[in-house]
Amino acid sequence: MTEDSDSDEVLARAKRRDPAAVAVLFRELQPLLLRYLRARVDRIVADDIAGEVWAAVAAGIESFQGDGANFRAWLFTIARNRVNDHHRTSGRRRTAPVADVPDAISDDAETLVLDGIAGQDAVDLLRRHLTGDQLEVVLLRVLGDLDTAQVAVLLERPESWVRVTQHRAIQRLTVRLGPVLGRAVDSL
Amino acid sequence: MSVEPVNVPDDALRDAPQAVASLLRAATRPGTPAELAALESVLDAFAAPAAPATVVVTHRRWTRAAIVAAALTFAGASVAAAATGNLPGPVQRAVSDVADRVGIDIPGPDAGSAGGQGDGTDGRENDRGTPARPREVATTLPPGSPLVGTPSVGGPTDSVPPGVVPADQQLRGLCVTWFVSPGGSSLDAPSRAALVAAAAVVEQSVEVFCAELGVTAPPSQPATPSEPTAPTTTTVPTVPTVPTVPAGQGNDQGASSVTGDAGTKVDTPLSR
Repeated sequence: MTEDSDSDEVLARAKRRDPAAVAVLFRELQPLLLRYLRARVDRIVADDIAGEVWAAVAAGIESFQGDGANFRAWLFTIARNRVNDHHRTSGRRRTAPVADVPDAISDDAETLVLDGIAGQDAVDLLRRHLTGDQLEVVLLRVLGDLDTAQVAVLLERPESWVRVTQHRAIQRLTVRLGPVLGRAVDSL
Repeated sequence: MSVEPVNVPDDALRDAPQAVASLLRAATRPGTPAELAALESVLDAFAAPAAPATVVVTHRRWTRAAIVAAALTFAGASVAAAATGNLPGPVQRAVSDVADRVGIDIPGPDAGSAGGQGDGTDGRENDRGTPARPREVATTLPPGSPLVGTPSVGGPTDSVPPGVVPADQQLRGLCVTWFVSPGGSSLDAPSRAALVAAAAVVEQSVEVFCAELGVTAPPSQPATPSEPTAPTTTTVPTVPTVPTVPAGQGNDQGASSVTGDAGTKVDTPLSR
């Protein structure tokens, strides 16, 4: 949600279950939510969990108190809890199998950038090059728009750990992808 | 509000060179049509907010809401219609049967209007479509329940009228199809979702769930090892726990969760 006044108005209407407002929220947040979930679990499960998240939102939105940023944080909090529930009950590993990542994105980041990399491709690149903790932090910061304190609470880690993990994630991306992405960006 | 790329937090990019920052920003690009395909179903969820299936189903436990959601998804019928006994008779009966076997009261097709509509005290939707008052419901899974243990023989499904496929039988059919292809990819989406939901609410893998219904994977595709059985008694609220902490009022405990029952997560918002 990019404009505070706008987002507050839309959220207020969504709480009254105005379909147009709900659609605005969905169009803005669903892609981010899906990309986060698909980085954590396989795609079919991610789609299922996304549906659960929106069902939870639909059930609770009338009692939600907060602004657009809080709403987004709430959405991602629900999503992460659902992912953790899934991992607990299924015993699966915390990150989605690498095999789920389309081959096309793995070796040709430069081409993707030149062609206009899609949101999911960008997340898949992050997933491919970051550790599990780094990915979680970066996605919650970037997609969830959570600040470091919020991420720390959500991950039950010290805030300093979040900052360090984020810093290392950026360093890792810079080392691994910086040169190729830099060439691509420079050539645009 | 717009659907333009969202603003990536500046401090998240402070250390990032331009190229990496571009990549992170790309992750927030507007959705593709495929990513937005679920819009209609989400709008439907908002249009029927108090129906049981839209209640938060946390931890995929064998809760009242989950049972109803699974059964109704399975039956392909509307949630509100079932909760009020307004499904077509045979479908309502199948849904009712599934719920009855695990101690959940969903009216059958013969329940009629007397008491069939929510009265605001039983956790169901009332006539105006507004949520009923909260109530704690103890959901007890009988050890011999066909959805927990072995398939029923001579159970309630025997009373299903001719022409109606009993719920267990339908589930077995889905199980058979599940094993035809890895991960049940040969099932259509609603059927797959129904089977996964039915298994999830008893916290079993589909393979284990199907095995307990008497359907196992062919030798070339062995079922996965058994997983721990879910607790057989769960007390859940019939309405979702919703965020109550106003923005900026120092929810020091943050978002992680409040433990409801044995690890069930309750979603609360983070303060910013």
